[in-house]
Amino acid sequence: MVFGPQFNWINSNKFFSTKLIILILGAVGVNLFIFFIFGSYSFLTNLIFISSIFLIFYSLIELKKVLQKKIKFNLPRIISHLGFGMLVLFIGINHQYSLEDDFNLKVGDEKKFSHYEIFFDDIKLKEETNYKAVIGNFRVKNIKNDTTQSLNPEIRIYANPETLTYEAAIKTRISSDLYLTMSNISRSDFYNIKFQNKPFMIWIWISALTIVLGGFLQLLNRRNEN
Amino acid sequence: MLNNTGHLLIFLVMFLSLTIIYKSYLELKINSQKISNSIYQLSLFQCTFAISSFLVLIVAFINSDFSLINVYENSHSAKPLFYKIAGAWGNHEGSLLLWINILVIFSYFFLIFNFNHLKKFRLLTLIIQNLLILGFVIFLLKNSNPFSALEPVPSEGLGLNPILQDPALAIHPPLLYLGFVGCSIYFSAAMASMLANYRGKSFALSIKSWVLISWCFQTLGIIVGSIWAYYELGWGGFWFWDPVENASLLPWFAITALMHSVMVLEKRDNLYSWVIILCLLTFILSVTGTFLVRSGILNSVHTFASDPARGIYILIFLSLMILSSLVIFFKFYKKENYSFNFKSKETFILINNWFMTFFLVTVFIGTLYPIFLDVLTDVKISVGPP
Repeated sequence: MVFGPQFNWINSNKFFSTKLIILILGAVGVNLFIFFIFGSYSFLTNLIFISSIFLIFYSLIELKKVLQKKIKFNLPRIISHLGFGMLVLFIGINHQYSLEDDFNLKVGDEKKFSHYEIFFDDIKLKEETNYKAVIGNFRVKNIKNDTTQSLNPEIRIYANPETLTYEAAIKTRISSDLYLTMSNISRSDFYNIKFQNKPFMIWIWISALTIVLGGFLQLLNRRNEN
Repeated sequence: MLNNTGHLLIFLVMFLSLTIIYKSYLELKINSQKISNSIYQLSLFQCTFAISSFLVLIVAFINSDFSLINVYENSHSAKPLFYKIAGAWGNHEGSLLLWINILVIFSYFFLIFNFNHLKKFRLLTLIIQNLLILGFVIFLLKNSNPFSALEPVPSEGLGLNPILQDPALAIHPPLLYLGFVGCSIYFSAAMASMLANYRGKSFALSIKSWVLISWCFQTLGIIVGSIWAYYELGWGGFWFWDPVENASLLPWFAITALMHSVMVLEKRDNLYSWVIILCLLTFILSVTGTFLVRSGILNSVHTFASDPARGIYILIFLSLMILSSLVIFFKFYKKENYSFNFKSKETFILINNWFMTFFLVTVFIGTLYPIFLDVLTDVKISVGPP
C-alpha cells in the first residue's frame, strides 16, 4: 500500500528513498512508545504495529501533499489506505490491551479490578411497549485519574416471543470504551457481571468508515470523470 | 388481498424476466448498435413490479396482516412500527425478496448507465442477469414465498426474535445485500464479456463503477454488522471468527482483489482472465455464504433462518452457476502474456492480490475444514482465528 502507489505503470526508476527509511524508523519509534505506555511485548504485534504506523505516516504525508496541491485524483486511494492502516493499528491495540473480568455481585456490593472500582448501587424496573426491563445502576471509578462513570446494563423480558435478552451498557470515550453487562443467576440475589475496558474502540469504527469514505469519494471522482 | 397482490407482482417479475431474455436474444440478431426501447421499458416495468412487491410486503407488516404466514411468524401487533418495517427483511422469505429486488435494480441500472458499451455485451449481460433473477424468483415461489396465505387468520402473530429488534436490523441487511447481490452484475458482465469477446479496457470500464459500488456497500454492511455484534451480548464482540462473519468476509477479499486488479486491466490491458475469475468468484462466494448459512450447515450465533430444504435448492443453483461459469471460462479462455517489470505499479497490485487470495484461502479452509472433516471422518474439530 505504501510502495505500490509510488511506482508508475510499466516501469519506474525509483525504489527506496531516504524519506521511506526515515518513516520506517519513525514507525519503530512510535511502536516503542506504545509498548512503553501499555507495557507488553510480542514479536508479531510489533511487526503489525510498525507496518500499520508506517502506512499511516506515509498516507498522512501524501494526504498533506494532495490537499496542498488540491489534486483530487489520488485522494480516495490515500484516504482508504490511511483508514486501513488505522484499522490494523487500533484492532491490534484493542486486541492486545483489552482488560476483562467476570464476577458476581449483588446490589450494594463493590469490586476492585485493575485500576477500576465497580459499585453496584441499585436496580430499577422499566416498562416499554414490547418488553419489560431490569436496569442495573453501576458506578465505575477509575482510580488512576479519579473519574467516575455511570453504566446501566439491562435485562429485557420480551413477551412475544417470551425471551430474555441482556443489553450491554457501553460508555464510549476517545481513548477507550467501558463495557458492562449483567445477567441474573437463578434463585439468587447475585448477578453475573462482565466488565471490560476496550482501548480505542471508537477508532476502529472511525478507521473502517474512513476506508469506505475513500470508496465513495472514488465513486464521485468517477462520476466527474465521466 | 395483499397475498394476491404480492403473488401477482412476483409472477409479473418472472414473466418479464422471461420476456427480457427472449427479446434480448432476438435483438442479438439485429444489426444495429442501439438496443430497442421495448427492452428498456420491460426492464423498467420489471424494476417497478419488484419494488412494488417489496412495498406490499412492508405494508403487510405495518398492518400486521396475519393472513400471511411470513407476517404471522415474524411480527406482532405490539411491536413498534420501526421493527414492523425492518421485520419485513428480518426473515428468510422477506430477505430473499429484497435479494431479488437488488438483482432487478442492478440489472436495470447496468442497462441504462452502460449505454456506451457494445450492444452484444450489454444484451448478454442482461440475459445472464435475468437468468439469475429467474432462478431466485422460482426459489422464492417454490420454497420461500413471503406471500403464502394462512387460514384461518390468527388474531395475533408470534413476534420477531427480540435479538433482531434492534435499529441495526433496518440498515445492516440492506447494506450487505447491496454489496453481495450487487456482485451479480459483474458476474453476468464477466460471462457476457467472454461470450461477446468484449475484453480489455472496455470491459474494465464497464464494470469498474459497479465493483466500487458493491465494495463500498459490502464494507459498510460488514462494519454495521460488526458494530451490532459488539454491543449485542452473546455475539462474541466485533469479530468472533464466527462462520457467518467469515462467510461475509470471503467475497470481500475477492472483491478487494478485483477492485485493484481491474485497474491493471484498464491501464495495461492485462490480467483479463484473472479479473474474470475474480468477477465470477465474488458472486459465487456470496451465494456460497448464503447457502452455508441458510442450509444450516454452519452453526452460528447469527443464523436466524436455516432450513436444509432451502439449502438443497441453493446448492443446485450454486452448482449450475459454478459449472456454467467454468464451461464458459475454459471454452473462451485465451492465453495472456504476464510479463511485468518488478518496479511497476502492476507488480505491486499483483502482490496485493496474492495477499487477498492468501487471506481468502485461509479463512475459507478455517471455516469449511471442520465440516469436511466431520462428513468424511466423523471427527469433530473447531478451528480458531489465525
